[in-house]
Amino acid sequence: MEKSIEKIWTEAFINEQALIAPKINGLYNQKSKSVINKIRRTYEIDNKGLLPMAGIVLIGGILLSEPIIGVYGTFLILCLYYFNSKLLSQFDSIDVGSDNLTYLKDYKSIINSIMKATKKLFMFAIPLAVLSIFTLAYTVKEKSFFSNFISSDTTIFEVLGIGLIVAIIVSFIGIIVYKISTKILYGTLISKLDTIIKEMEELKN
Amino acid sequence: MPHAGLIIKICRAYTDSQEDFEDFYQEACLQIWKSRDAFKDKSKWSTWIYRITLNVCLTLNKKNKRRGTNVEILHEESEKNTAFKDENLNLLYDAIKKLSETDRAVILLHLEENPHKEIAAIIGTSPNNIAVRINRIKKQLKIILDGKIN
Repeated sequence: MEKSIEKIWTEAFINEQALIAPKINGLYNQKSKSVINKIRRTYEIDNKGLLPMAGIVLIGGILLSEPIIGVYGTFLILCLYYFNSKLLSQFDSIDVGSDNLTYLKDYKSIINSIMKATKKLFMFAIPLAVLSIFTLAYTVKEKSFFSNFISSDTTIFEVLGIGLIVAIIVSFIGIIVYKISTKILYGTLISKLDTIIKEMEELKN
Repeated sequence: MPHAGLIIKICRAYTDSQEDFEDFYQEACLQIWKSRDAFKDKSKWSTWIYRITLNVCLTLNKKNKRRGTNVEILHEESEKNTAFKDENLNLLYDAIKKLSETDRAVILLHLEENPHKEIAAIIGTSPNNIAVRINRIKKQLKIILDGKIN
């Protein structure tokens, strides 16, 4: 070896173009890509979890001699699956050509809108679904599991009254479960997303 | 980013792919930026940057190893190093990458013409130890590079 390492080092770096710094956004591209993929995947898995539930409700309905209610319950769950899929498809509407920060902010606002929509679902749609199941159980009046609780002199108002109480309880428990499960499943990911947005905004200013 | 060249030089010595290099570089920039308020005039700005960048590189390397990155593959990739235009510099970097993590830090500081006292302060040892170490590392590098450098 003729040249000293010091000489190689000094000479080589005089005109070295490789010392041009990479863009700072690259890190955020990778970090945000990873967080976004995880959030999207978790949402999709979460939603697909409704499909086996729909199957269980259908089988349960048949086993409890409530095929109509079973089918109706399955239909409601499939509606929920469709509704969630529609909400998730909002992610595809984000302009991938936009800059990283705008993309992340759009992503976050979609997550917020999904959360708001799901809360509304628990507050209004789920109680309505419960009430409709009670109404259906009263209307069907066949010899089945529910018929044990509905005597011949039970009025529709009594059934709806109990249905309303059950609906409120289901709605209340649903919102609490939703809040807890969101915190467990998405809490860390969403806070990571918030941190990236915050850091990028600070870097931008 | 001031001293970007220094950060690039360090990150190149601790990474084997362009992707890792960009990650390490940008994480280092981020950490420097985040800890800029903690900088005190007791040391040079470049020394401060060196310390942070070195810490970032060592931490990320540890994380990568924990994730099970295959060291053999890294060495294989490092042999195809084309990060720099200068072929001799690529060979020198390949040789530096074969050193231990601490030796890499010492030789990079030495090549950046930092005095032994400063290198010792960063590494956490005595200036005498640094002098001995540099000699040993240079001998090691000479053996690795022998016959390869034009």
